Amino acid sequence: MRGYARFAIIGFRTNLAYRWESIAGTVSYLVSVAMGIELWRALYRNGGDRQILSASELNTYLVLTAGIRAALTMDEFFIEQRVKKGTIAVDMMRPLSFHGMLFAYTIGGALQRLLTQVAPSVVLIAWLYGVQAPPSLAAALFAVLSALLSVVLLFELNLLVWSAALWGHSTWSYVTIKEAMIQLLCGAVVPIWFFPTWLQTVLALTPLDSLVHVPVALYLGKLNGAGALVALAKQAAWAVGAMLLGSLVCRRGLRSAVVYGG
Amino acid sequence: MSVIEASQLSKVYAIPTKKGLRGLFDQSLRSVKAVDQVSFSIERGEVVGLIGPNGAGKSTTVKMLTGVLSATSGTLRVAGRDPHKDRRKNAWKIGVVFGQRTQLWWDLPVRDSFDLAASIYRIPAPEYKARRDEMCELLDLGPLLDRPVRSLSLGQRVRADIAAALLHSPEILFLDEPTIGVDLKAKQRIRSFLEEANRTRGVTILITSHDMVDIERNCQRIIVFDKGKVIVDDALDAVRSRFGNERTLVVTLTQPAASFQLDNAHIVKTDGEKMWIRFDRASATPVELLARLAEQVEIRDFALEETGIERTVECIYDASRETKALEPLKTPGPGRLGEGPASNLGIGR
Repeated sequence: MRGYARFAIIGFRTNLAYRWESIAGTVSYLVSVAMGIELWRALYRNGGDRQILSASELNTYLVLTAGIRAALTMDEFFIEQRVKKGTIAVDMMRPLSFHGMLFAYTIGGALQRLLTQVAPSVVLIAWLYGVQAPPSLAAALFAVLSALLSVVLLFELNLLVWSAALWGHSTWSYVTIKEAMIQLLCGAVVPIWFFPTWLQTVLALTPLDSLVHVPVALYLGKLNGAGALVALAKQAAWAVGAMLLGSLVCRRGLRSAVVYGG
Repeated sequence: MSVIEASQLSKVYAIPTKKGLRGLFDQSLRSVKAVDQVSFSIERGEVVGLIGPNGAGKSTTVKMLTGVLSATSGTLRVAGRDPHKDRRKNAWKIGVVFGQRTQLWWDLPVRDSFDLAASIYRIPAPEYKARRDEMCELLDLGPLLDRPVRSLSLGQRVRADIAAALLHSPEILFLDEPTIGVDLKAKQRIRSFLEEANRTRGVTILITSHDMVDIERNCQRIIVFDKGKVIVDDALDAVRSRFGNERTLVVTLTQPAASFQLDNAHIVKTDGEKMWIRFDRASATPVELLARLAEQVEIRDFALEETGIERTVECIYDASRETKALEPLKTPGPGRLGEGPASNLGIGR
């Protein structure tokens, strides 16, 4: 465990190493959130379906989804770079699981983003636009638990795409397609409630709505009681399933990864 | 007791045959034998040099020994285990330094990478501190501990990498091109550190290097690879006496000579009045040669050079390519004169 914990620290500190990058990231995050909120506010002024979300719920939704997405930004090309540089050989000579090391490293990075970038930004935006408090303590706890599950789930889904690098693929296009799908369908840009019913039904069968939509819906109290528990159970099942698959793919990938070069 | 045991070890790579656009449609592969039925065993505490030209199979062998690559066929035991199947257990026993890739974290101070190694290998804090301080002392790393790895010079980085690889006191240390691109002073420090690690801690060391001084300085034994096969595996001294029979006589004449006759020797280089004459220990003595020369030209100065390991290895390749069988050569290679009819050597062109 000590080794994995240290990997998380390395992930945390590596993110901190580029201070200006971190500051610029925060600024770009603030701008994009403010733009999204302004856009939705403009749409809402000229109508908008207040049956589904009130203006203040919408603000809250947008601030939180942007926060979750920012905290979940991961190094998409970590594996590919290590394969290309050959340092994947170094990872393979550690007495730890590659899957576990990568998870710890990624969590460390996410934690750094959460503490130094997302949390201050969310406080600032919440102060500017107003964010609702969760309706109950249970809703708050469910939301936190769900957000943690989304971290695991997103990491494992990402890993399935990143691992293609172990078979010698260049993953830029795969990552771009995956990102576009997630952005559009996880509810970060358009709340899933605004999607046509058939698409909502389809999304409910995928892990995508678990990533952002579920934790925010729990926070807003839109998912409650038995519905909340079902949503959490589904999320947990997806996370465990993806983890098992991720671990299998990782092991297979490392076995066939050829480390070229002197 | 053998700490490494390789028998009939082979590695075949599959390489795409078609390049560029055609490769998109035609995915046929051809196999390349990087390592071909190699067998050797290494005893605890030995320091062994793996040498050979680029693409001879050394690095592939090291990758198999460290568990990074699986063998296509043959058996391999490192500290009693299959290094690929038991990759994670094997990692406890070995330390690895790749001159060209680093295990240090590029953006972080050196200290963080050392801390990581200590945590991974569960080294107790006081022991870790003592060992780290010792390494810092021996490898002169003290002032570098708090500097980000990206700001280190290559020599500094390699020294830090060696320390990181030895923190958990591995039984076996693999060094793949450890001194490539490293300056002379850092090279010397690395060499004496390795000597020390082997002597005081009994670490078994395997080095691949193109720098023959690394090999000469540290290794008691060499394994020479060529085209995926082991062509020589012997003690360094034995290899020297088997293949290093050549000596070179460097003479300086009073003026460039036009031509003269010399048996049992040949001129490998001339530079104005200076010339380098190579001869076989068995077929001529320097005194004979000097006497024969003095009859024909006026000698101002001379010196005798022993064959370095570099030239010895060249001889090994020549021998293996010309004869396939590895007998020490009595007959000269192309462009060389030895026994046989005396020849006129035109010089001073």
